[in-house]
Amino acid sequence: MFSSYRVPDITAAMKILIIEDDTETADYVAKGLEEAGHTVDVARDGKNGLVMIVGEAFDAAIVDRMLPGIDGKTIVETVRGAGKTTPILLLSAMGEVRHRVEGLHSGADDYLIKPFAFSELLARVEALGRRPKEEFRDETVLRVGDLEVNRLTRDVARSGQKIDLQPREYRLLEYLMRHAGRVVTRTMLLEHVWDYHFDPQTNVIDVHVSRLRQKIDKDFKIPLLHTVRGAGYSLRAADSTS
Amino acid sequence: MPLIRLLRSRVFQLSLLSSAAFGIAAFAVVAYLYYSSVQAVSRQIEATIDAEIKGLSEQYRQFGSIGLIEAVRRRARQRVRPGALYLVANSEFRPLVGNIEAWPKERPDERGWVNFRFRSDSSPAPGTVALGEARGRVFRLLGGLFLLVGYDLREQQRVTARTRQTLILAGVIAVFFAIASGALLGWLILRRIDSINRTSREIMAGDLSRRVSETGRGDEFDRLAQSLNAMLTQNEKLFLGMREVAENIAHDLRSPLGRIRQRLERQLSGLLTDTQKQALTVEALEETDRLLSTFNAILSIAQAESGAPKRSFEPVDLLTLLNDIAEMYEPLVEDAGVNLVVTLPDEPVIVHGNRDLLFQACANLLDNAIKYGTGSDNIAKATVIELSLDRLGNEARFAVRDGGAGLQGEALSRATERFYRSDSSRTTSGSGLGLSLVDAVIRLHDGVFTLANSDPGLRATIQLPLDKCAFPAETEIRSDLPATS
Repeated sequence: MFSSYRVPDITAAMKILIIEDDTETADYVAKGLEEAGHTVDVARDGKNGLVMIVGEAFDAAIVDRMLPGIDGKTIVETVRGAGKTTPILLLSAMGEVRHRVEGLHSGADDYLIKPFAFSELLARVEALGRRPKEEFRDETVLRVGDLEVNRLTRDVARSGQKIDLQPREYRLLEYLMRHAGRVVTRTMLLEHVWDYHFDPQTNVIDVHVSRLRQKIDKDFKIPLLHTVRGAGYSLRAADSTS
Repeated sequence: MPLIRLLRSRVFQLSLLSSAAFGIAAFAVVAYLYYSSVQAVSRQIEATIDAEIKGLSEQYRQFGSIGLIEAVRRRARQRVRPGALYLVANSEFRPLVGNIEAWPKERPDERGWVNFRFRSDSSPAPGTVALGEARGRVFRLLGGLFLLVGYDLREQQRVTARTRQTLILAGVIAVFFAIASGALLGWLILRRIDSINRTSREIMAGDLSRRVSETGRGDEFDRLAQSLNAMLTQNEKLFLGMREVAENIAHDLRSPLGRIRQRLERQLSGLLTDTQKQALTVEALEETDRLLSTFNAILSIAQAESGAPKRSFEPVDLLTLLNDIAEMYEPLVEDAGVNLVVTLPDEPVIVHGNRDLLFQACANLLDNAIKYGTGSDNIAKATVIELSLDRLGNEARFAVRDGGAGLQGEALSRATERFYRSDSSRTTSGSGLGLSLVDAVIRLHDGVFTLANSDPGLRATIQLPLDKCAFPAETEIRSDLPATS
């Protein structure tokens, strides 16, 4: 259950663009992403950033909302207007709910409020990177190791053994499976499985995860659902663990 | 300096201006009265002279020159009319009889009217000089005699002079009082304004407890002072609140930061195994997460209090929201060995608001109920947390009741204050911001958040106005329609 904080996975290396005028934040994020095995380019202002994001192929872009010259929201709108689907995560010091909604409406794929935990940023960026290639999103059957989820019948089985899940547990598992091999944070689970953006003061999410774990891991030798301490959770088959 | 300030005072200038306007009007009225009364007196004198002449000419017609002279002598001696002057002179203007010593040298006009100076032994009033001014009329009689009938003007001049003096004196006094009252008014108002100025400077210098003094007369200055004081009290409360919050933040953050630092130091010591180091790192990470969560709560409260999230308001169904909450918390509550009893209405309960903030508020109440409302000192083993939602008139009422010991005394009234933690809750984890955030969010939604002991446990109630657009109005509209189906 306990695993290391971060497992570099070369096959999933991404090319990421950071558009951020604050040198300290940009360097710290770039260093963290590079340590996680990704290639990082940094633009210090909106204009350069826009040129780079439109001209080159990035797997994901991290864009600060407040930038000199062209601001982050305008960049997102321009990129989307140009028909580019590069996944974009907006960073903002403006934590207001309304800004988050605005940011997502402008075409950004995700929104993260400063100050953030790096693990949160990493998990979200990696989740974005997967998106354009996720043909499997339309797949009927999702598989992680010997765990299978049929998205039509909502049947869940491990090693052919049927597992009964509550509707919410099913949604939780489906989300984890769609991000298999990646770290998923508690906030991401709240936003995507429960569809609420809030800050729980208790371990309410952990309880749900541990119930799910009871059902999918308890009777099996190899655990699939891992706790990544300090970050969140990860669903992965044994062979993808280093 | 005070004098210069007074002269520059707007009130003083205004009162001088109004005094000047009043003075000019009063002067015009008095001058008119003076002029017309002088006119009236002059006409009166001429009428008197004419009446005298009429009487004397009657005597002359009846008794001739002798009769006239006799009448003049009698009248002059008897002083029937004080101030009346008579003189009969011969053809060389030598006086024959009368109370004037000499025929006047001044030339009369064509109608015989003349203003002249005379010397008389008989003064009309004591203390007047013998040489007097008079107005009169001269006639030439048939026998070569000349008749002068006049009127001593000294009395009239004296009255006129005294009137003039009185008016001038009154004018001087009026000007004096105008300046004095202007100065007094200016000084009185300046004094009140100065007191307000002084107080505001003292407050700026840091003494927040200072208040503008009130005279208790209930005038407009008192009312100004009252509203200023009310504002100052509110500001002081807010400021002290902010200071307390800042101190609390500093205090609450110091310990976790200290612990994080200690863990990092220990990792550098070189005496630990990798596993130990990793465990320390994870602990430090969890500690920073809690710090971040505290900061997020502070920011959320500030945002809710700023009112800005109102722009993102939309209809929110509390029924769905509470179903989601109950579903989300059910496993947690179960693990805590608590029975969650949920009472929800059948129909949606729509309010106007932000669903994430409302969810956060409701979740905080449940978090609290689980953390503090399941006290071991409760005799009943199976603790119950009740969650209910209902509609009351045009209000939605949502309540959470726990099975704990409730809050005693100060703890109940101060529970929503930022960072307030009752002594009993100090040992459990928590930022002391949960209920403050609930309060801020509910106030943002124009709702009311109340805490009360309900024996057993604490009952937290949220009342929110229902969304007006979402009222089922059809029944009312239908009753207004004509009954033609």
